[in-house]
Amino acid sequence: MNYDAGADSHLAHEAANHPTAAEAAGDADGALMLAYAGGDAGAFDRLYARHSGGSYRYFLRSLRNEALAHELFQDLWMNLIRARATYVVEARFATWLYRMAHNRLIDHYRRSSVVQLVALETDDDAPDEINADSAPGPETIAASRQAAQHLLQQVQALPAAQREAFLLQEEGGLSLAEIAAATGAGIETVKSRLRYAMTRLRQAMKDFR
Amino acid sequence: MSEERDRELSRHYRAASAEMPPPALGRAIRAAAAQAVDAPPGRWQRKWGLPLAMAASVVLGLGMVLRAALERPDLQPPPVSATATAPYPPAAEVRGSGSVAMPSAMPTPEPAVRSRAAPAAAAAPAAAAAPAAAAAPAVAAPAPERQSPQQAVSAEMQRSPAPTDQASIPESKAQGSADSVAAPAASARDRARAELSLRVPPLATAPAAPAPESARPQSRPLAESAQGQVAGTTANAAMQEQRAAPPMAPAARAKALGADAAQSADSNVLGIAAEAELPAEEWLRRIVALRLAARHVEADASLARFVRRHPDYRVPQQARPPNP
Repeated sequence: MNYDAGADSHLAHEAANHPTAAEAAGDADGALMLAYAGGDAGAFDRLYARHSGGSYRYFLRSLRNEALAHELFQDLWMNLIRARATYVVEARFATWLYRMAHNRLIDHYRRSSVVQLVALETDDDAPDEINADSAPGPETIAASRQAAQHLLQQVQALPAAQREAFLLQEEGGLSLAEIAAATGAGIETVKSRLRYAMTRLRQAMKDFR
Repeated sequence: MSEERDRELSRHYRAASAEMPPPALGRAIRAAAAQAVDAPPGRWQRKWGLPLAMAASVVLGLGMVLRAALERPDLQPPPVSATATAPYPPAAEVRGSGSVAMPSAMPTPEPAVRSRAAPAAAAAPAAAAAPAAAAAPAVAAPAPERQSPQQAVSAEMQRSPAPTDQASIPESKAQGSADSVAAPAASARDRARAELSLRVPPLATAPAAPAPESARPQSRPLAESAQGQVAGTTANAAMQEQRAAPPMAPAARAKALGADAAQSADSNVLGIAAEAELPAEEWLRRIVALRLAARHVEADASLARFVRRHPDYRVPQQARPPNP
């Protein structure tokens, strides 16, 4: 079902106040996006409140550079504003949002470094052995906060493709199929990436369980 | 999925994931979002864009349908047969006017459908003039006035159907008839028969050199249309071939071709089969020789055959029909 993204404001108001196909499918974010496309700025605020943190951390964990994360995060949301007129409900809003985020990340990798692009696009799915020397011993980690920080370090040490799959699952709440749709990879590939990522993280966190 | 999702890991991860974008950045993004919808660009476009696009699509579609309908082959005018009876004006009127009636002044048997097949449609009114000229000698037996060879061609086409075997009649039958300005009707008829047997395409129907200047532009389309009747669609094909030929030839090569052409004019009339076996240069030389001998009918016929056999060969100016 297609929606006219350029509908008038009264249509947007109607879309915001009445259940649509997107809402019926359990995607209230899609309805909010349609409402925003119809001129409801408040709908955008609600969308931003829901997804700004996850998308920001997606860039932050992927880039490991705060300034770059700010830049790409801003680009993502500005692209969303520009794309409002052509938005149609084809999938969950989060899938659409993180597909744009993935594309922006790939674009950044292409411009900045071929090495990182290769690291992201090739299936570096083989589980690497966790370097025991780099893992802090249990005596140095006393609290769960320290465990969480250790987990973040291990997440950032993941291969790019596995890390992205993990972040899309945790930050975006995407399913396997949605991750595959957002990244353009096959479902089995995504499944494999997630399995390897979880294996590595479990192995790294076994001392904290 | 359970294998790919570990709740314990998720809990640890969420406990550590508290980073948020800077508030200033969030405010700037929200302000940009609000500004984008406060002043929506192209409100007029959104209102009228769809109706205009639909109207343009309808107009385009109708145009394509009309064009397709006009180009349907079953709407093309049928070829006019040589024996077709149409409301032609009396031959006496045509003869009384002193010249062959212009095709545009003649009533056409049926309205020609205007389409891309313009030559075929244009041949229809021209063809209507042919029987009128043909009837002239039948009404007034001794033709007191000069009759151009092209008129005689038309007249003969009315009397005899086109032969099917082009090579059965040698071209030499047409000799000796190209130089008569005041040729009697019988002589013109002989030449017409010879030319008819060769099925000369339209390029070969250039007016004969001795024809009066006033008669040339009128007799030319007449002859073209008459031969178009006989040759059918091959006339259009020949016209396309001639159009595809380059307009000019290098002067030097033409000069060389015409150097000894006059000397060998008489020996240049060969049978069609023998002529087709000639090399292109030799064939052109013979055509030029025929032109220099003012035997344009034979030259035209030979040139038409040459163009059919060598469609991509550049024809020198001396071998082409003289401009009226």
